[in-house]
Formats: sequence, C-alpha cells, structure tokens
Amino acid sequence: MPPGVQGIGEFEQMVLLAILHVDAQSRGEAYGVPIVEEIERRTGRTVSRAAVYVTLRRLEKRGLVTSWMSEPTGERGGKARRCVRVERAGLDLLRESRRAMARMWDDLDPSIVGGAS
Amino acid sequence: MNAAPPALLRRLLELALPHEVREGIVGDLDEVYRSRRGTSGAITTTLWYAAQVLAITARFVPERIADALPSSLGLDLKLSLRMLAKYPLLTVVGGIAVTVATALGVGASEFVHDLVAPELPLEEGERIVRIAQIDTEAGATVGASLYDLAVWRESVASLEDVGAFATMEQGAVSDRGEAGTVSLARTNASMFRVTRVPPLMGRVLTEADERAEAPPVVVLGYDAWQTLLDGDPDPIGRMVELAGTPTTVVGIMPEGYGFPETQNAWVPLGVESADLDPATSPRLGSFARLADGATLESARNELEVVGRRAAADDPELYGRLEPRIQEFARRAPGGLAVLAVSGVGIVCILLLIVACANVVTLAFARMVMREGEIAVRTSLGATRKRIVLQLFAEALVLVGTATAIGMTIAWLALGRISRVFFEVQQAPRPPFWWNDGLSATTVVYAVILALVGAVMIGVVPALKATGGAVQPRLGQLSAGGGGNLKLGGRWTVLIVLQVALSVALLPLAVSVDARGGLGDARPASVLEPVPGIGFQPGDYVTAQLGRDAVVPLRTDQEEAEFMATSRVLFEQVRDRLQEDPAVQAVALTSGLSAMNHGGVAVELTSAGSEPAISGGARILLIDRSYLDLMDATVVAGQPLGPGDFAPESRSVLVNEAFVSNVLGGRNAIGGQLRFSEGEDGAVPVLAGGADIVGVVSNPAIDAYGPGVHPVIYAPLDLAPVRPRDSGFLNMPQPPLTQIFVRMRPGAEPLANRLYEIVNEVDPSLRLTAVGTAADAWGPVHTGGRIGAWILRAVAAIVLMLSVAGVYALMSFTVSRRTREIAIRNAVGARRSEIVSAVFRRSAAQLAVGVALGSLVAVPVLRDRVAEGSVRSLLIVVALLLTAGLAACLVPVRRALAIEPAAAMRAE
Repeated sequence: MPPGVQGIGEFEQMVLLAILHVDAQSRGEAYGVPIVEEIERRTGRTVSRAAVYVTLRRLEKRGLVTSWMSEPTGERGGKARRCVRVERAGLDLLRESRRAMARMWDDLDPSIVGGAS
Repeated sequence: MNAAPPALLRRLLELALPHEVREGIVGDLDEVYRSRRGTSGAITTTLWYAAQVLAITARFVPERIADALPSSLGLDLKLSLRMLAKYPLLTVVGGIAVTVATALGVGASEFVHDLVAPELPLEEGERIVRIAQIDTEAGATVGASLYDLAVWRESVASLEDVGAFATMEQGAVSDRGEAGTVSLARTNASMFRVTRVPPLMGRVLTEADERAEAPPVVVLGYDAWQTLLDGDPDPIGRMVELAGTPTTVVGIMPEGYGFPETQNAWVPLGVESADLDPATSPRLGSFARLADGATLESARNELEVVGRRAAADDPELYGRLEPRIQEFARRAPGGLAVLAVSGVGIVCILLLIVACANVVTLAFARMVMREGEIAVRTSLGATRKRIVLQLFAEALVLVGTATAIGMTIAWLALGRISRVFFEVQQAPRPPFWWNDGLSATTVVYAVILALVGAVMIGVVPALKATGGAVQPRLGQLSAGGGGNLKLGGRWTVLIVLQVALSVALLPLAVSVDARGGLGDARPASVLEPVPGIGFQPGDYVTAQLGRDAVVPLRTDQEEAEFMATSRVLFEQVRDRLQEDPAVQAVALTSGLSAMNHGGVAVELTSAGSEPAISGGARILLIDRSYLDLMDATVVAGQPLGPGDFAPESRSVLVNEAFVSNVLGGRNAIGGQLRFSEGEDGAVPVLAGGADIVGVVSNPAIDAYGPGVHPVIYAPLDLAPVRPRDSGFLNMPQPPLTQIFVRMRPGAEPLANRLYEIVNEVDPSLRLTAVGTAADAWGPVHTGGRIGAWILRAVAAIVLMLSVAGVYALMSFTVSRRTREIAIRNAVGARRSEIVSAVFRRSAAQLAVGVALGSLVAVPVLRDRVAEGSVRSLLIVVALLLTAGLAACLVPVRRALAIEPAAAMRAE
C-alpha cells in the first residue's frame, strides 16, 4: 500500500468482497439487499443493514466503489436500485489487505495456525 | 404481494437519509419488507422495519448534521451578523428584551431555587434528611426531642445515622490569645458519617468523644482555623477556649463545609441518660441519611406508623404531634424571604409579559420588512429550507448572544444580591450549600429557552413568509403592497394589546414596588432611603449581645434560670459601658430599629365608641434609657415609668408616625391595642394586648429616616427576651439584645473596649455585629438601592421596548397601506383627507389600547395611590401615543410621493 493511503477495515473488506461475489453471480446487479444476504450467508453472522449502507457510502466517497441507479421496479414500490461496482482502487486495497494479513500469519507456529482453522 | 411498510416509518426514513442514497435504501427496505411479510407476518415484519428505520436514522442523522455544518455554518453566521447590523434598532431592542428577560428569569429562578429547594453539595446529598415533630393543632414545627430521635433510630429501618444538633454563636479564644466568634454546632458524631466529608487535617468527632468522661474536643471549620488559629500549619492539639472551657482541636474540616447550616466549629452534643425522658428531653435539630434502598416515601411511611404508636401510648404528649421528614435543606422560606421573593417575582412576571409581547411583535415586524428580500432570494433559486435556516441562524445569533449576556448579568448580580439578603437577615454567612453561580440545570434551561426563542423569532415567521408561490409575491411587492404576511385585523389586535399591556402593567409594576411590605404606609420616596436625618450615624455604636446555653436546657425552670442570669449579665454590660468616659448613654433594645424586630398587624379600640382601627406597625422593646438616647420626647400622655417595666405591665408608647399613619391623626392616649398572629403563626411579644400611655416624637435614628415606620415601644423585660422564633433559618435562637451606645463627641473608637468589657463580665457572652449605626443599617440601604435600581432599570428598558414595539407596529401597519394610499392619491383624493384617515385609524387603535390598559391600571392605582405611579401612568401613555403617531408620518409621506401613474399601472 503506498504511503499515506488509508487501509480498509475488516467490515469494509467484507462489503467489498460481497459486492464482488454478487457481481459474479448476477452480472452487475450488486445492491444493498443481496450484499447483506451474501455477507450473512458466508459469515453466518447477522449484519446491520445500516452499517452496510454507511460503509457503502464511505467506500464510494473514497473512490473504492462507484454506484448508479437501475430502472425502478414494482417489487420495490417503484423505487430504483442503487447498484455498486468495485473499482480498481478497491480491488488493489483488497489484495493488499489480504497480503498483509497473510504476512501476519506467516512463520507462526503450526499449532497456532492449525488451531485457528 | 403489494403490502407497503407503514407510511409514517417510511417518511421518517426518507427524512433521515441524504438525498443521494435515499431512493436506493428506501427501495431496498421496501423489497425486503415485502418478501419478509409473506413469510413472517405483518406484525413481526413491521417491528423489523421499525428497528431498521431506527438503526439507519441513528447512523445517518449525525453524519448529515456533520456534513451540513462546515459548509454553510460560517456563511450563515456571516450573513446573520450582516443582517443584524442592517436593522440596528430591531437588533438592539430585541436583544435588550431577551437579555433582560434572561437575566430576570435566570436570576430569580436560581435565587428562589437556592432558597427553597437547594441541593446539598455532599455525596448523595439528596438522601440526607431532616425530621421534626409538627404540632398539628398549632401548625408549628416543634423540633425533635432526643427521646424521639432515639426511638426513630431504633425503629425506622429506612433511616441510618439519625442524629441531633444544636447551633449557636459562641465566643472563642485561642491558646495564643486570638479571639473571635465561631458558629458552633453541638452534634452527634454520626453527622460526619451522614455528610461523608473527610477532615482536611486530624480527625472528625467520634462516639467516644460523646461520653461524659471524655475530654472536651472541637473540630474547626476552614475559616475558623484561618481566623482563630491564624491558619497554623500544625493546628491539631492546640487549645481553644469555648465559653470558658479549654477545648482541644482534633480536626480541621475542608473549606466550604458548614453542616448543618453555616457552622464552622463542631463539638460533641453531650447527651446524658436523663435527656432521654420523653417529657423533658430537649428539642433539637435533627439529621439522618436514607438507608440503602430506602426512599423518602418509605421513611415517611415508617415514621407515620411510629408516630401513631407514640400517640396511642402517650396521647397527652404525642396526641397532636406528627413526625415529618423532608430533604435536609428543603424548606419553606420564612416571612421576610417569602415577602421579598414574592414581591420581586410579581414585578418580574409583570415586566416579562410586556417584554415578551414586544419580542413577538418585533419578530413579525422584521419579517414584514424582509418580505421583499425573501421573495427575491426565492426567485433566484434559494430553497425554502435554505432561507428558513438562514433566518433561524440570525435569530439564534441574536437570542444566543442576548441569553449569554443575560446569564452573565444574572451571575454577577446573584453574588451581590445574596450577600445583601443574608446581611439583612443577620445570618453570620450564607448556608454552606449556597451557590452564587448558576446551576447546570439553570444553564441548560436557559439554552433550551434560547433555542425555542430562536425558533419562535426566526423559524415561525420565516415559514409563514416563504409559503406560497414566488411570482404573486414579487408582483405584490413591486406594486408597493403587502406581501405574503396577511395579518389584517391581527395587526390591529396586536397594536391594541401592546398598548394596553404597557399601560396596564408598567405603572402597576412601579406601584407594587412603592407599596412596600409589612403593611407600612411607605411613600414612594422610600426608594431613596434617607440616611439618618437629624443624627450622625457615626455617633452611635451598636452591637448584638447574646448568650448561649453551654448544655441544652431541659426544663422550663432551667430555661427561666438561664434567661434570668442572661438578663443580669446583659445589664452588667450596660452598666459597665455607662461608666466608660467615651460613652454618653447606653440603651438595650430587642433589636435594631427597622431591621430585626417584627412587623405586626394591630387593631386599636379606643375608650369611646369609635369602631376599631386596623393597621400595621413594628414593635420595639426598649429599656428606660432608649428614648432619651434617641432624643425622642413625649409629645402627649406620659413616658414609661418604673412601674411600667414590671413584667405584668401593659403600657406602651407609640411614635408620631403611628398616630398619623395608623390612627389618621386621632387620639391615641388610652387606646387599647390587640395584636393578631403573624402569617407564620408566630405570636407577637405582647400577646395579651397593650394600652397606649403616651406618644413620643419620631426618634431621629431610623434606618429609613425619622417617622417612616409606625412603631410601638414596649418595655423591655429582659427575662422574656424571647428566642427569635422566625428568621431565615427558622431555628430557635438564644437570648439576644441589641446594645445602643451614644458616644461623646470626639471620643475614641469603642469597639475594642466593648469586646474587653463583655469578656470581663462573662466569657459565655458573645458580641456580634459591632459597628456604627451607619454600618448596621448599611445593608438595608444597599438592599433598597439595589432593589430600586433593578426595578427602575427594568421598568425603563421595558418602557423603551414598548415604545419601540408600538413604533414598529404602527410604522409597519401604515407601510402596508402604501398601495391603497398611492391609489387614493392617484384617483384624486385630497391629501389632507388621506392623511387624516390614516391618523384617525391609528389614533383609534392607540386610544382603545390606552382605554383597555387604564381599565386595569386606574382602579388599582386609585386604591393604593402613590404619586409616582400616577405620574408613571401618564408618562407611559404620553410616550406610547407620541411614538405611535410619529410612526405613521414616514410611511404616509412615502406613499404620497408615489407617482399616481405608477400606482395605477401597478394596479
């Protein structure tokens, strides 16, 4: 990560990864509802929707994701979806976070690494 | 499924979300709501939705506020200041109104709160309580006996550390000869557990100190340590002589500690087993702490049960007594405090009503002036929200600044006013819980009021002014007519109310002040106290001489003996002083004329068949030398002879002011006086009535000048110099007398000699408040001056507000008729007719206001006429009429100057 660039937290990583997963499954239609479901499905935890929306907004302000409005649909009371996509900067930060985490695990006693899995 | 989330929750969600994410998030929740409702049911899904809305609101609202502030706050503030500067009259007048209202409201509420329901600055101070027996038939507090306290200690589980105290002023001399007076509390050691304040040095009292065989010990307060021991860094173990008993200092309490009231020295109570006889046990003050988990209510219930049991066991002693418990410092203030607080309160409320009416008027008037600006800004693209926020910011700057100034004034004034208050009450110092600062509650209250004020002044008129379409408003304004604020008949109502309120309340406010208290016929000039006409206050030295029982007095006989001994000692002091070469004459009285002796309601029945005359007067108990000392001569009847000073005597003298003010000049000699009970149930000294045997000229020496107060002079029989049964602390007081000394011209100062004489006569005597008559009456004068200053300043400010308010209202209401005037001018109406039509209507509005206000003011002023009040009524009316009519001139001239063609074209 270049100096001066702020890293991303665990929850931000989860949201970014969830966007990528949903994106891959539904070809560009990642928005609030499936993102929350994806995180809950993969982590087994209940996630606060409010936290997801605040995080999405923050990530967008930092240029890590971009958003656009889809066509309004009837099942949403005539409201459009706000779809999001992970930008290159977001991907770079995700990869960097993963590498940093991996380096932190490197060289630890196998009993610790094994216990964690 | 077409079910939609509850509309209210959905609306709340929309309001909480920023515009750019609103649609996406609301749609997401709608989508999930619909899908969940099919599987989970309506109620569960609605609850889920509500929880989501709350969570999202909680996350986004602070973010929105933070986002909004930095970008627009600075600009709003800058614009606010510019606009406030652009309308200086309205800014200054409105600002002063809010400042005065805040200073009065905050100051009065803080003072009354500290007086009536203060908070003890002690750990869990609200759980410290006071218990007393109430005589239910007499409605009087009779204190709690040591026997009662022992019973309560045993049988009331809601209370712990129940203890007793007695307080007194006590002369003290240190082992190095430093002398002074301490406010002493004889108390149970549990007091220190109840208050939970550790000593600054040494230790507090313990139960061992209370045993009869224990050596005498004292714990000193911080200021007693500073004065009596000169702040000795090693005070523990030093000796102090208290009422002649050498006593060891074992501890020093930290600064500000003064439990139970104003004390700065604590010694063991000294309870003996004989004190626990229910019939003879002395009655004292009490304290206790609510036990863990107990409440005032649970303690009250337990005490009620114990009280009923005691009444059943001993109906003669306890039949009419009822134990009552309350927070320790909470009290109903005594007579003078109630009078002062209620009097000031009434005046403040009257003045505040006028001030508030003016601020509202000005707020609307300002909005009218700015209608054009608002319409133009709207047409240039400013949103309604933006304009309302801007106007709110302006109001907030104005109200916030004025509130801050008002609170500062209240804070500065409180210290001074409370000092004078306690000096007049002759308390040695304010109670230890007294706080001259503003409490957090008061500050929060004032801030909330400021915000509400800003909303009222800024937002409400702004919402009204920005409603409706822009185009018609611009059209109306360019034609010179009124804009959106169609108030119509309401303007007339506002003007009439404004004038009526000012006319009705302002002279009344002055009149309430001028009438004064205690039923005295004080003229308005009392606001200018006359400092001692006819005598040199410096020629008189005065002091209070008192004596305290070293041990609590148990029986009536013990009390009578103590009083008799005190009388002999007081007379010895008088005789010793009389021998001093610097002294011309000495007298003893029950108090300082016009200060600490009671005002009573009195009824006079004459020897003839005339109906009884009622009035108010003060009773001063005097010895034989007092009237000579004051150069007062008998002008009718006879002086008090030696026989009149016998205990069974009913003879009294009255002064000339009594004859003129109470009797209306009728003959006083031979009249019989009856006294009624005071409001607090206190029986006056001469409960059995009295006969007037003579009239004396008004003594020259009086706090307010000769002849201001009707006074009854009764013989001072020192044995029954009663404990003062009222006063701020409502505590039983020891015998007390006032010494008056008239000095020989050019004599050396007497103060030091006075201390020496008193100490030589008996060390148990104590001397306080030594000074010249001018010193003694100083607080009355200062109090009067401060009161007069505040009332006059406030009345002047409110009058200025009223005049400005009426001017603004009249000016705006005529401005709104500009188009009508211009058109009438254009169609050929004569100018004189137009002008007279405008003035006729304005004059009618003003006249109706004056008439309505006078309906209230005149009857009251006629009832209790004071010259100043009538004059102030006339001044108020004249100023309002002038301002109102002058306000019409400018707009009328402007309207008449509009070209007729332009006026018609616009139409």
